[in-house]
Amino acid sequence: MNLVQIISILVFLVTFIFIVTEKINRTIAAMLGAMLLLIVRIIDQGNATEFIDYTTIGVLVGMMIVVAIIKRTGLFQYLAIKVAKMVKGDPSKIIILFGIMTAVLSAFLDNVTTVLLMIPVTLVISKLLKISPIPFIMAEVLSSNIGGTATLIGDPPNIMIGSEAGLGFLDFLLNLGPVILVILFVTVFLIRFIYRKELHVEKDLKKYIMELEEKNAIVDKELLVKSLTVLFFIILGFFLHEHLGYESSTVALSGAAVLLLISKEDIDEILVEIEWPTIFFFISLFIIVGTLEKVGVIKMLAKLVIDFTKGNLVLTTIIILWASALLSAFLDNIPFVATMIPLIKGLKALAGVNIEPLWWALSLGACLGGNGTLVGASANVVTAGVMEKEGYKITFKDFIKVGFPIMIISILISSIYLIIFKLK
Amino acid sequence: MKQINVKETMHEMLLRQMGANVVCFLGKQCFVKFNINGYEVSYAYNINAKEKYFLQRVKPYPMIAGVFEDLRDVVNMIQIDVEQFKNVIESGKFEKFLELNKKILDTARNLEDLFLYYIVDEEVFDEISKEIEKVREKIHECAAPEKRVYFKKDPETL
Repeated sequence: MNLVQIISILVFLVTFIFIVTEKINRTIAAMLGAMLLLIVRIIDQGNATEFIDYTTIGVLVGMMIVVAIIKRTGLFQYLAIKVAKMVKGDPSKIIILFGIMTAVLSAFLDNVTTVLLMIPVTLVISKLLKISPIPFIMAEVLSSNIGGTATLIGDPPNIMIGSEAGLGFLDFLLNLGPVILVILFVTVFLIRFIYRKELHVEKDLKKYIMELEEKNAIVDKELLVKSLTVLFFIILGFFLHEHLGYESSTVALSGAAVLLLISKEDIDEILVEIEWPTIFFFISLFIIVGTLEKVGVIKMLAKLVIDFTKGNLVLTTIIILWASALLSAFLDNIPFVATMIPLIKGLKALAGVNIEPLWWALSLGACLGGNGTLVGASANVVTAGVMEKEGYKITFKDFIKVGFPIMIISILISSIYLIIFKLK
Repeated sequence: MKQINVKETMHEMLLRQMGANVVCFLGKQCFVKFNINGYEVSYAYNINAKEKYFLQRVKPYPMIAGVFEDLRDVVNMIQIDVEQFKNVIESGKFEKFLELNKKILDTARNLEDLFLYYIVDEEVFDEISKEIEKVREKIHECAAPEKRVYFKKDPETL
């Protein structure tokens, strides 16, 4: 190992420690790490620009713009009220349907936004029913992480994997959709079982739900129609982008630009809502991990993995799945996936094996692993923060008691699925 | 920011379910504080891109100062208000003025509670109105042109 490799590893490790321990903000930590690599001249400006995956950044920014506009329409509240009224205010049915609804929405929109849009309506409904919102919120946050796993755009790790592995929207949906559907149903019914004692309400209270008027929730009907039309074309674009030869980022950013034009929303107000810290976090991580790849550290790691697994694809897939899940339960899955992507590519280069199952294992492990603990996914952390402000504390212990067993069950189901359908 | 968004959405939902039309602007809330001879004079106003600025005096007693279309008008309004408070404070009669003002504000609240919570005979309306008219007449009497001390802006109600 040479000095350049040692410095690169040190910068990576120190950055990672700061990100994990949250001693300083994760974006600032990653930016400092990336800049340090430039300052000590391990890479130059040209390398840094080259390492940034513009497809990932484009999809993230494009979808953030679309979501910022859609959430102004009141669509989420409309759907939530409609669903709650559909089951006549029965909390044991609402919990299932809110979970499924969050998962479906999370498959197309980012998890944090989906959860943040579901929380207010859930709080109002649980207050009307005079029951704790925590069972519903747990169902939503866990389902959100599960739903996000099913598509290319559902969760940032998938956007990164799709971009680097050349896998499209349909590839994700066809390969991960079926197993995610199973995991989702198992999860929502398990959560209902876990919280069954807290889901009883007096009959009289259910009438308050029936008094809610879903039409009042729609803020701007014209904007809703425009947003849904554009979203439809964006999703259609995602289905066809590989066939048409476009990057997924082209689809997302084109949709965002068209929606900005036709919605007539104030561009300043919309762009403020983009999660710029997340975008800069990604950019900086790409630079750090790109450096590790350039200086040969990733290749060394890939060799170690091959030596350990002896090139056995089944063993490698299962190790990646479980290691990703367990690590993602405690660490930020974005830097983990950013590091694993070049490693998996390196395995292909060294061992020449079909690495497609490894991508699915990485995606399932990294996304579903987030359900293991309160710090496993951004949606969990944000939800706990918002709920605490509203007077409902979800502690690390509370979360792990429900989340960790569900995560283990999800990974068991994923293992069976991969072994039967992807590794035969 | 995320917490504010959640609160905003929740409150909006409740208000919309009540049949209200809710419009939220992205903007900033500004608090302006002066210390004039130990008295706090403060204001609150918001800045947004919708060209309407709502200014409110918070201390020494709350009062809506108006809706302005230009931020310069907000600053002018505050400048004049502060100058006037300086004059009153330096006159040495500020404590008495504050006391009187508090009584008027409390009376307005009492009146509201009376009509919102009790059945009130119609004669009471007339009686209270007569008393208030007396106070107003007294105020108008005192506002004689020769006693005026501030000329940068005309009084709005006298």
